[in-house]
Amino acid sequence: MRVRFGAACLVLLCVLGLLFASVVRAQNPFWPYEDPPRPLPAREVKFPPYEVRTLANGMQVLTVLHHEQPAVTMHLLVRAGAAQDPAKKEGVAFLAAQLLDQGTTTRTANQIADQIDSIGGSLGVSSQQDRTIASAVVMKDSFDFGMNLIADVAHNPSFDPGEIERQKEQIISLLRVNAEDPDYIANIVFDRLVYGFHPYGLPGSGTPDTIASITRDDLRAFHRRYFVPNNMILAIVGDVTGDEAFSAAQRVFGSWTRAEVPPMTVSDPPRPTRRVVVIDKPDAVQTEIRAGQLAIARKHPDHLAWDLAVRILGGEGANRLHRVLRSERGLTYGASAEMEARKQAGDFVAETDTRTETTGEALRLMKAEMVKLQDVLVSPRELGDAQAYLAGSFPLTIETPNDIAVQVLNAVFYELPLDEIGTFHTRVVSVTPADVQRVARQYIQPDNLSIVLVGNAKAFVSQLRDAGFREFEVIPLSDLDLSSATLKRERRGSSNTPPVFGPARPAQARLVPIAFQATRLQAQNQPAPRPAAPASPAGKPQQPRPPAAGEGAASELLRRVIDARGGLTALRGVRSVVAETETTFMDEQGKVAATTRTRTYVVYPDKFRVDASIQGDLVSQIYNAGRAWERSPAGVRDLPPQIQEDASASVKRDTIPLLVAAADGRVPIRAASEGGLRVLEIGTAGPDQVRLFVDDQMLIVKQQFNSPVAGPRQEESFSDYRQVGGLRVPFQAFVSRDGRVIVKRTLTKISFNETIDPAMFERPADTGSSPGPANQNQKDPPANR
Amino acid sequence: MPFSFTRAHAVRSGALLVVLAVGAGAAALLHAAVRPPKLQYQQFALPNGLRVILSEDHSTPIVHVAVWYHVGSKNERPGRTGFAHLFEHMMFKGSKNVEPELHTSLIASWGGRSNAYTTEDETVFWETFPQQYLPVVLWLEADRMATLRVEDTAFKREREVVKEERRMRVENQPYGRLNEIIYDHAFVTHPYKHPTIGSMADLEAASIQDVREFHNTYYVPENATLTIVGDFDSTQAKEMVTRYFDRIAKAPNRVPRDIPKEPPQTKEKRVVVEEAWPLPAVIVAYHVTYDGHPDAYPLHMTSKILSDGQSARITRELVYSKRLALSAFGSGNITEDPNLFYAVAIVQPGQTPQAAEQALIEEFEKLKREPMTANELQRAKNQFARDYIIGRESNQDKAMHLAHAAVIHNDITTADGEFDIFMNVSASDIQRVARTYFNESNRLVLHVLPKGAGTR
Repeated sequence: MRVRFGAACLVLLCVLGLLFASVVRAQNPFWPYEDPPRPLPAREVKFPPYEVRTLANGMQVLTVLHHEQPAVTMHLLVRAGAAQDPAKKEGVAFLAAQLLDQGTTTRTANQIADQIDSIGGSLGVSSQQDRTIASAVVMKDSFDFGMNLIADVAHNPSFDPGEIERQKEQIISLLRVNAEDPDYIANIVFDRLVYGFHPYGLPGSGTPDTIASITRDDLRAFHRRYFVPNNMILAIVGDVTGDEAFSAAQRVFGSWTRAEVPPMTVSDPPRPTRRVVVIDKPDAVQTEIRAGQLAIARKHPDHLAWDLAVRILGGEGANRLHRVLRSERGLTYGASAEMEARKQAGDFVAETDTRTETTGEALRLMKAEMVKLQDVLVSPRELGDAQAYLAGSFPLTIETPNDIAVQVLNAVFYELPLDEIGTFHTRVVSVTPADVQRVARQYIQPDNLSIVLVGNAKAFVSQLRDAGFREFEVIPLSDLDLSSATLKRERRGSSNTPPVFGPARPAQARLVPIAFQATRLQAQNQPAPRPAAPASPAGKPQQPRPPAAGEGAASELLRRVIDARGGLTALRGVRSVVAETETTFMDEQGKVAATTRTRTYVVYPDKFRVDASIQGDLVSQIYNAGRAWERSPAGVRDLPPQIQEDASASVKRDTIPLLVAAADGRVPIRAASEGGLRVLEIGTAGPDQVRLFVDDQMLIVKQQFNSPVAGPRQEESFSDYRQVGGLRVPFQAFVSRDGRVIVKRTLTKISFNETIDPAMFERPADTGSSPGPANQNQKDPPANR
Repeated sequence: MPFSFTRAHAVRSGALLVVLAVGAGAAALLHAAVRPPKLQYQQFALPNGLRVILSEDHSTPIVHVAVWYHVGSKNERPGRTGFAHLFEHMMFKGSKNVEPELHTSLIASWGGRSNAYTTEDETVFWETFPQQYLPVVLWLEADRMATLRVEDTAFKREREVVKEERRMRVENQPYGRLNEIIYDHAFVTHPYKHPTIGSMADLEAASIQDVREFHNTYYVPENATLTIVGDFDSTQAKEMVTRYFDRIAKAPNRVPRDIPKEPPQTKEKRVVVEEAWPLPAVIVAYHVTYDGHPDAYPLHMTSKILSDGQSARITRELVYSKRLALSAFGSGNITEDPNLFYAVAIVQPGQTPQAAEQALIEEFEKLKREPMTANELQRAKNQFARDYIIGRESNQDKAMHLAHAAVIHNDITTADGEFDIFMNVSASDIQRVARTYFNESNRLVLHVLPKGAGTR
């Protein structure tokens, strides 16, 4: 991993027309003064051949053939993305995309990874506002395999509950990392200001709360609705023949039937309104600045003239912002302007980052450049340079087969006339200075800009007044809430109100913290592709904070733990549980001693029963109001007193009644912290106290208790929480003794409040209660969730 | 791993059974079916020492030019860290016949692109442009090699730009300082200890006199390699290169190569630091050898096995199965001088840095303990073949491979020749190399905890 740093990336205009120097400053007196040589004759450039066909089921298939390198790339584009997320479920499209390669009906996630890696291929998914893309690269001899795989992941994703949980956990952690990244924060707040509550303004990768609330059914519904062949474009690029490509497409996708795609119904984005928002991040050493507003969608007839105008302001081939902020004043490493033209709407944004002390000046200069673009007709030379760049770069945009395919894919996706690719040059050079001024006046309203500044507010807000921005809102980063009209988390009101701050920028496939990506990229001061999602974890605090000791902190912690679990009403509502588990017992060496499937029945407050199959025999252990016995083919016998006691203790520490008891004030509670985790202590210190270790999502990750059999400070850890009937239930549990895992328990099925026959907990008439040695494997207290 | 799919299986059904039946002995059957085509090139040198590499490719009417100067941050003196990179910026500030910033804007006005980057070992300037402008680009590069303009105001302004670059990349984003922290603790003497971008204090201390000296010392023809790839005629290009570069005088002094050696590490280093990052990071790093050493190839292969793809060991163990890490990888940073092989895990909430450390170390121990299976080795080789193939699509990719071979290996034939070396790496090579380097006494274990966590 080499670290690279780039120098000049974006491009300046020729300074005052003084193309070549006439002043001697260099140290080599023997070097001649001279003009540059003349270029060679130009060669004609044609867009390389490609072909687009439509299958009978409506899928569009594009091929670009290229035979230099023996590889084939496939892109499958689905015309749906974050903009199609159901209301209050931001992140469905993103999570669905993340799960495409995490298991199909015939391949597990691990099998997919093994297969694609073994052949030296690669497979990736990405999710954007208007589209979802799965891409694969394979060597030419694996073309059929690659096509089968991409069809399988698109058609048959299993949305396996375990994989859903795994991806949710990844996304939520990444949201948390990104929530500390000023660049990321600036982008999402900007999108929210510009697009309001239009889907483009909402976080495409969700927030911890919306991600947590997404169910398997949500994902399946999204897939069923939008992943239909008539809503897809497939590109096949590289070292195959046209016949091979189209017949493979027909083979793997041809039998997929067409279906109606529901139309989108969304509100229009709001009209541009002046709003300056400062997000306070006191530890920032720079201020991230965004300034811009709503503009035009991709299909708008002004697209090309507007593209040139924004380039002159701050794009490749021109860039006044770069010249003024970087080259002339050294205020920043990079300044640029970009237009984002999406399917339904578009925006433009001028952006830079500058040290705290120069925040006001940078913002003032940015606005001044926008005003200038409207007031002063651009010179033919400056426009000519921008046009020359755009038109001249054409051969660079067709260098690799993928470059070619992306252009055609975009034209097909945005429903542009395909012959526009061929007439690009003519259209570019026909834009006039008056056109540029017209679109600049039409789409820029310098007095109605949406402006976001992320940085150390206290140190720069006075500069804003001096720079002419008298009105602004300062919002502490920890109070940011994109779901609120004020952008501020309401301090009163429902405790469940999440800070809905998430990304609206295109989400990227793999979840890797930004810093890692940046170090691998060649230095360019244009924004690097961002990974997905961000946002703060559930609840307000961004960082795990040790709670203050005392009753107030403890009840707050208890309340949040209960909320995270599904709420007090839901917990109170649980009267019985039926659960199936796979339980593994470990021996002293940590090796698996035995594995068994069990079914557990719990009827609160004081009954439970575990049925297990032990070496082919059905064995039941039953606890009822203080008494425990076992029933096996050998007969019925009482369990030894210690085990009875342990069973009784396990009923008391069952987290559902325990949390309810604490909420009702029936047992004392105390908040503490240990090893970076919050700890909720329930019960007075002593043998009956149970300590619950809580993570940042307020989920109980560990329970510490005193066992009558095994001694003090035994532990059971919980993970893989999933939603079941309004509650969050840990599907994985490890029981440890003296730091060693002795039992691993995986839930395979759980249901609440089924009717359970009371007779199941009745002890049959004694049939010889000879207290033989209990099975080694069953010493453990059974049943707990 | 319930089912391993091999390249051979994709080609001939039934091969999988053979693999399973005869195990490692079947490795020969599993050779990669697809080979990357060889690069076509010629190489020559001018009397002043400039090395020139030409490689024609007429598929698109564009050309890529790269000038590699064999100088990077490892050539910097103490107190002047970040200088190679700061100097790179100065190369855009004009030369005798070219106004400041004109280099970039001129190329852009043709629709071309240009930029530069600095690493520990080299500084590279490049341009991609429509083919007809080749003479102009060569003229521009020769002008700044021969005659850099050095003006105090431009220098001071550019220094501010680089300081902003440091703030943006390193200081103002989570995990931005990760590399800096790792290298500062891993190295004692060798200049890999300091980051390429340098420290704020050293940037501030750099003077205009330093700029002049640096140019005179390192930006000389014998320290440069000019690579041209794309749509041009070699005879014509040779003539142009000679016309513009031959008139640059040979440097009077040899380029200094007196870089301090890193003393061998003799016992494990353990470090805990705090940063304002949202989640803890754990790093396990080992000192390894240099690029081109026979051990470097198995080390590269080890990077694949640990981190390339979702089935790679670290990804699967730490991210997928154990869910210890939001993100984790382990790979060798194999460079001109001996560098590090390091693994990083960003620890998931609810998991401990200790557990992540153990899991990372276990992956290194496993490499020492057990040879990998034939399938796993073949998977890594197939991934290598893929990288060779898709990493050579553009002219810029090809120029990068050729120049790297010429400058860092001082042997251009390695650009293609390494392919066979990689394909011949065996499981026992990887095990042997793991046993050579992945040892406790040679290890740095670094925990970076969120601010405040370490004192609780």
